[in-house]
Amino acid sequence: MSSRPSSHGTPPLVVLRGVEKTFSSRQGADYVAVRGFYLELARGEFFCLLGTSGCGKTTILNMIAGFEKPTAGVMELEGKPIAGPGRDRSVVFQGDDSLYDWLTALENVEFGLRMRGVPKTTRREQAHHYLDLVGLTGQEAKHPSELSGGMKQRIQIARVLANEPKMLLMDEPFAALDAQTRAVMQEELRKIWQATGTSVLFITHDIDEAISLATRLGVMYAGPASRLKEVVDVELEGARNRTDDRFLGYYRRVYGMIREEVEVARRRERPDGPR
Amino acid sequence: MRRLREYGSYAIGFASLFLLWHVAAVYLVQSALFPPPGSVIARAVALFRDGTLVANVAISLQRILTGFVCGSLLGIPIGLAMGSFAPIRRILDPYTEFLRFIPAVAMITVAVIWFGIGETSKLFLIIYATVFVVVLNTAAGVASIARNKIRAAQALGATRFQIFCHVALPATVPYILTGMRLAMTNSFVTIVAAELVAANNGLGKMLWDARLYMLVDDIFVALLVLGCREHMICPLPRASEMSAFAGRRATAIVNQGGDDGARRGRPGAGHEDPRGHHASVGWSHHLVAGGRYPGPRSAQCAALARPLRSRGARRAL
Repeated sequence: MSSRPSSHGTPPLVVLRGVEKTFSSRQGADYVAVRGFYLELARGEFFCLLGTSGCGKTTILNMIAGFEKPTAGVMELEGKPIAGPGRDRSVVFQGDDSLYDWLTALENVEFGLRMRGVPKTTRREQAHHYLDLVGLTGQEAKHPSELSGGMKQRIQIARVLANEPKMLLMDEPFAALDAQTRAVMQEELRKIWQATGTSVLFITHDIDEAISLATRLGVMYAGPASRLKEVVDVELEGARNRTDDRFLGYYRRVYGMIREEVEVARRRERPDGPR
Repeated sequence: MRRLREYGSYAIGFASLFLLWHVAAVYLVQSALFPPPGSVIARAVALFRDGTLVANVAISLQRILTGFVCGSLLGIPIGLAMGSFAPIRRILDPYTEFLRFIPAVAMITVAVIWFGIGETSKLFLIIYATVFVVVLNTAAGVASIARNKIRAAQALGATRFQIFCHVALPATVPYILTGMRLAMTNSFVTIVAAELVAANNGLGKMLWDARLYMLVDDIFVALLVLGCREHMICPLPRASEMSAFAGRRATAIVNQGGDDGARRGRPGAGHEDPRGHHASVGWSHHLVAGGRYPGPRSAQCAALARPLRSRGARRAL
């Protein structure tokens, strides 16, 4: 199976075997989002999940996060079935609506620690540390509404890092940012990942972003009843240069895979449309 | 300097109001039935001096505040429960959907029959005028909490109870305050009407007596006082002032009998709604990892809440 992690020996962090998710609808016709989905994620790896819109990427992430239950199949974290959301898997959402508007940046970051009853001085210290890490020093006392889109995503990232999860689940976290900000955020995320060693599952439909970040990436078939089409090991070391030949080689390869799926999705949407 | 200019224009506005009134009364209407501001203010000073004005205003305010506080204390928990739990909402929906369309003013009739013309009937009426507005706004507020706020808290390890206290409640406060503010307005309408019909004192009674004895100046004094209530008592912060608390602005969602664009929606039939950040059935439903996404109705809530957020300075990184 091509979805084996590249690092052998240690047991995988997350295992998905034959996962299926069906959404029931009131109109009667159920919608199968994913079916027969297999994936193993190793400790410390940065996995990017790519696919056309509506292919079920977010569904996979939501199931690993525990927000959704699969209708069939096995989902395990460190060998134990995933039963619901937990602080070992923190989620960074696409929009900024997951931030708490009534709290300052600092209070947002220490939210998880506060829920756990960590004493105030300790959690303040930790929150400051992670705000520094994401480059938000000096913005502690501001409310999310006073910060830019990029800064808000930084708060989200600091908030989940402060909780020290085993795994970061990121659902197109930079999709709403402008191109420059996005590039900066990608670079910083990679640095943070290298510094913390946390495993990351990153969802995107931006091929460039996936190759810039991932140690491994997976492309999904177009929905419905989607599953993994192919998994690619991204063997680029150090800072990734978008104009590098090997980078472009990966780009061409992944672009080809996605292009086919876009065509499939388009034909499914408009069966009589131009071929 | 800017402050000064702001207050200056306010002063001009008020002065022009009185000037217009004066011109209309003295030069256009020229009738004893429409007194000029000068004589009304003189009468107001006289009534203030002999204590009747203060006594009447005080008793009306006291009735409003008692009923308003009781109504809010009753309405907030009911609204929170309705917004949080779909079964409770379904059970209580018929009550609110029926009773909120009966104006409190219409209930004066039964209030007087049941409780007489004393304080009990006033208390009942003000509670009635308050409770539904507060309930509906609170419930709408709870229902419009972004799903990701709940999910983020879950993924950060918060318990159900913690999510209620630290996420659902603070996210709803602006809506609760908006509801209370609307309820306060309703209460004024109701108390004046109630005192007009049946009371021994109060602003409404003062109005009615003045009409009875053709004391036109007294009528205008009472009207003047009612018009000034916004400036006299402001126990509740305006929506714009709440932004300090919530970092965003809250809107009036539901007024009694009015348009309620953000009615707590029923779960729709959407398949997959990955961008549906706002859910419509209440925060507790986000907790359940179910097979059904909240439907597109949530878009209404989103539309209301969206432009209110992200008003802050957009600064580049």
